[in-house]
Amino acid sequence: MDLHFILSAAEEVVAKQNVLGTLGIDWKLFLAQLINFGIVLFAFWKWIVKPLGKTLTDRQNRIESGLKNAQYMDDEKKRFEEWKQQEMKKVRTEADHILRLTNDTANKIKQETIVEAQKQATGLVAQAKAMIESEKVQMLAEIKQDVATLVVAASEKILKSKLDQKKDHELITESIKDAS
Amino acid sequence: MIFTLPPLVAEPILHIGAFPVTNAYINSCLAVVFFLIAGYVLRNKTALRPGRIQNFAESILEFILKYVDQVTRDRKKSMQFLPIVGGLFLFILISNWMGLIPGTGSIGRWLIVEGRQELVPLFRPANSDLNMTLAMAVFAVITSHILGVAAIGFYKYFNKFIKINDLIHSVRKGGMSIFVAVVEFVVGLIEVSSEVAKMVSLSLRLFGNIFAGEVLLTVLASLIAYVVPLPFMLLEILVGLIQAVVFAMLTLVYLTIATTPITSHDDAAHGHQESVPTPTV
Repeated sequence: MDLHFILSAAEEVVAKQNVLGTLGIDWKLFLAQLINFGIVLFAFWKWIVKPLGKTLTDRQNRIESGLKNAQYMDDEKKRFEEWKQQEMKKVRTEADHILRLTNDTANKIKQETIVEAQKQATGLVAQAKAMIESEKVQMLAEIKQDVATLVVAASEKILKSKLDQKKDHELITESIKDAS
Repeated sequence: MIFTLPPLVAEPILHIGAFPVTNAYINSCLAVVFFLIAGYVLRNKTALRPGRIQNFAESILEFILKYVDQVTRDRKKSMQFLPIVGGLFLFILISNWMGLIPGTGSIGRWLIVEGRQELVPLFRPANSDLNMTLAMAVFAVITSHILGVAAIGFYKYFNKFIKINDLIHSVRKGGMSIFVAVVEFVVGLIEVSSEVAKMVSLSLRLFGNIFAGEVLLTVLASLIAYVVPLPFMLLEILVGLIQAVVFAMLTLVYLTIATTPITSHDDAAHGHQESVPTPTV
């Protein structure tokens, strides 16, 4: 047994005389345990709580900003959908309008064309009628001329000897009147 | 084999100079080593996508933080108290559970104690030494005072105990308020003694529970060594956890109360009362 051990054993016997000694309170051990606990706290704070706490906070911030972004994206999507619907509606209305306009224009052009065609047709018919009329008149005149010539020739042949000059002329005039 | 009941005082195994290295101190050093290793392993585990070890450590931290939040109701304060409260909780828990590892109390060194040769165990639960529990209690109470002064200022904090401010205000008002202020002044003085009581109660509660558990297990093991002590060992696991929770929670409550400004009667009358969190222990 070494000297230190005997000395400390003697110290312990003396220490046990008071209450603190009975409970085993020894300032050296108290300090040593306090230092031990201090080391534990330091290690726990420096190497565990500090980095992990920062990581937890960072992650929480990131999740929060992610959620905020997702919410923003959702809102944007919703807004875009609304805008799209409005635009589609607008485009549809515009297309309908253009279609209606085109239809109207086409109808108008069609009507105008029909009217124009009818007008042209009427004109052509009138023109044809006029031409026919003039040709008819011309033909009648020619026929009259021919008939007169024929009548004169025939009358001359039939009445050559029986009729005088005066009678002949009256007969010719009467024949022409009847023929016209 | 003859079992001897563990003595109240941790037994010195060897002496380094005049310093007695007790079996409880050895266990406390082992717990320190455990924390140093854990800290070394976790010091660079800061990935946003955690691995298994980081995930486990984070889950423990978040579990503690949730309870701290319930008391402080302020995340900033919780983060400030987490190292102290979490450190206390985990250190006490690990120390208590280390006392249940086979070998604690049975592996020892034959030494002459009070004239008789005895097997002095090499390991003894760290918290079955009052030096350890008292060191933590003193640390917890003193830290609460330091943080209290830092949070609300020396004069206001001082007035929580020695209510000079209230006394001066009551003299101006006169009448019944002087009587109330005198009573509160005396109550404040009693509060000072309650700070000492906090240290004593914190340390003795933990020490008593762990030491009693150690005695219980030794007695049971000496009666029937097999199977029968198992339920009691399970009970000791629970006691170890509960005592760690109680110590850490009480410390948290002390810290929270110390850092919360208490309004005087004047302030309350003028509607400046601040909400004081109601601790749930």
